[in-house]
Amino acid sequence: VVAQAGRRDEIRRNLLAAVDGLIAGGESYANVSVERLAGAAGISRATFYIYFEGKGDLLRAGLDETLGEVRAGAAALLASATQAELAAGLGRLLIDYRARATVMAAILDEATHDGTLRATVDGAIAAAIEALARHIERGQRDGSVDPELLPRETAAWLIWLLERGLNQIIPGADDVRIDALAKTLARMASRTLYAQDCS
Amino acid sequence: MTSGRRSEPLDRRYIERRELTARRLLPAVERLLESEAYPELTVEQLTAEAGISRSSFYNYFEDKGDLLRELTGEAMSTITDATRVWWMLAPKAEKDDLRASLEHLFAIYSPHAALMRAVSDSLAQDARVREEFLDYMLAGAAGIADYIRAGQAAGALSADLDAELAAEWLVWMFERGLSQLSRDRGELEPDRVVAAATDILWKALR
Repeated sequence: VVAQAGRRDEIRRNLLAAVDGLIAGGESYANVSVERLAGAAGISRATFYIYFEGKGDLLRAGLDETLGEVRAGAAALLASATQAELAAGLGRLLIDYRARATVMAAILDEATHDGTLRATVDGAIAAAIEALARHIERGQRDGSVDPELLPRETAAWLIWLLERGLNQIIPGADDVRIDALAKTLARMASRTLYAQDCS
Repeated sequence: MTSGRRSEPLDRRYIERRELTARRLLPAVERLLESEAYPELTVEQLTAEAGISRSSFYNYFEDKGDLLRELTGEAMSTITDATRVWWMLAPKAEKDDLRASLEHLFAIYSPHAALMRAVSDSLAQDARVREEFLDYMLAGAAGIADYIRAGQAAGALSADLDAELAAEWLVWMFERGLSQLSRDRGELEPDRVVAAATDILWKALR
């Protein structure tokens, strides 16, 4: 069973890399056949179907992988003690996400007409808003966050900023630009959440 | 040949009729988008809902993407104009002025929210919609960057912030935040949503 799970992971990674390559080559995910996809990943069509029900299933697996990584990165952000730490954590999150940006674009595109994918994306965003809102509330109780901030509404704006930034700004950005973007965002977020001297 | 002179008023009338037809279709599009995602909408549904014939639809529009482009341009220029109230605030404006400018933006944006979500949904499939949309985003980022620089020059906003990069993040915050948070699902109250955006802008740039 362990060997099989490892094999599935390997096949998923290869398939997602193949998706990345095909899209980078100008193809749209919707038009790529399972046959081509499997071929590009070095497996047969039959093997593909042992591990995945179809192309949608592969994207769901890719989405779960990305969301797991983003969740881990985001948890580190909320634990940052300083603005510099927040900037460093954001920088890592943006760099990691960039590697997945092509596949994520295909996933978000597919999610406009795949209800299951859409529900997963919406659920992840709702959970992120909830987590940041709780972080704000905790900070308000211990005095580190401005008591005037509206937790849920502020969290919603900031999570949408991050979500859109990840999908729109990050894909084409080089390392230098990502570093500058991370520092700018860390500064804006720190001021918003932790500054109490200018309202 | 005089065809140029002769076709000019005809073209103008045609363009005007196309705009008017788009405007007539807009409420129908927005009603349908309440219950159905844009990719699933058909021209049949649109024309039936708006009470116009299929032939007059196709007289002015190649397909529903063509209609969406016409509606997008109109909605996005209205929204950009509304955003200018914020960008043009005096550098030393009070927090209440900022809040009022965002209230105005929110009020102008809300009726277009369903349409703007349809635009988002079609960006991947429709290169022409995407191009037009990204042009407005660039213009939006430039407007916000000007606002930040004016505030920095006046000493109201922090000078050590990179105006361009901050504007890039913020334009996307508003793009998606407006389209999602103006949704009438009773989850978040508009007043509180605007108050939170005001706080973010007020504090993040200082």
